[in-house]
Amino acid sequence: MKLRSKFFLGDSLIILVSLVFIIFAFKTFWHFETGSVVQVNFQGKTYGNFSLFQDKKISLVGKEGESMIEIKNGQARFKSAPCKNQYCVQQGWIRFTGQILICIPNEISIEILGKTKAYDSLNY
Amino acid sequence: MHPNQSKIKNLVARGPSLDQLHISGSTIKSTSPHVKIDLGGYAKGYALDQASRIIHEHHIKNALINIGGNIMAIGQHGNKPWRVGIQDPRGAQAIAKVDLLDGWAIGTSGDYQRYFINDGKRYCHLIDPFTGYPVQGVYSATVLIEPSQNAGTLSDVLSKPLFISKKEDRKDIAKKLRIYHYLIIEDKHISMTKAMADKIQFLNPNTQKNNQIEITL
Repeated sequence: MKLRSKFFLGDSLIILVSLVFIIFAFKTFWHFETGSVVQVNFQGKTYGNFSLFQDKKISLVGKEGESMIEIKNGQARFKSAPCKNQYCVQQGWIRFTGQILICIPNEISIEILGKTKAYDSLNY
Repeated sequence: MHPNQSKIKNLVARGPSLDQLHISGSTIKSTSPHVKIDLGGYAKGYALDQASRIIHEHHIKNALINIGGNIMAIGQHGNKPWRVGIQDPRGAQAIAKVDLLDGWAIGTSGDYQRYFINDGKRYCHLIDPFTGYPVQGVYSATVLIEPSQNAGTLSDVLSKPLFISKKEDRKDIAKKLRIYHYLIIEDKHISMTKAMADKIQFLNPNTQKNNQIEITL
């Protein structure tokens, strides 16, 4: 009986320390930073960077056919794709920095970038 | 087309000066008929102070005001200070960045916004009152002004004497006008006060390689 209660004390300490660490790690490392720019890559090259704060449709014709990228309300998505699986379309909208959608058959990826400027305003 | 030299000489000889202005209340008098007033070097800065006053009246804690390139910071950006880029006078982007703390203002005079080039010579909009010709050789003069009632106005006004002054007079003029933070960019040469150097960061490492950097006290 004595032995078991000692085990319990040690276990609970480990659990407690782990919990504190997890909460700390979440707060420190888990950032949901909304992006401001979507980078469109097409056939191995950057096709362009587009502001997320506009309504825009970008049509790209690749090997499989036409892919349609849509930008709206600070988000971006594949609106339509010519491929069979439609994975890129099904993933829906992305808006946080680092999020990425890839359409391998048509060689297109879109990635959300953070603020590209190193400053808030320009003095001239 | 070239400016008429004798005409310019005559205009300079008339010697218009702010000392000839007499302001009482809302009346301005001049003892010289050759004085004309242009608020180009003043209005943007004054507008900064007015905007800052209005923002404070509405109890807005954090704002960054940019009036035609002159900038004043109120509060900060989230949990970081407002960060301002300083335009590269011969490039498309910022040459440096600086954290603008609450109440601070920054202003630049340069030869790269309003100018024309005639026969390969650049004519900028800032005229040296002693020669009557546009300032030559200086690309830009930036001043950083500490918080005060009229920091915005000072950020606009104080960059001009530094821009116009001769190299050897700069230190004295800065001292006289109590400009503690300035940055002057010329051809392959950048000079600034120690206090300014502590505050700014160049964005491109080549800037330090390609320019002679002079730090003054």
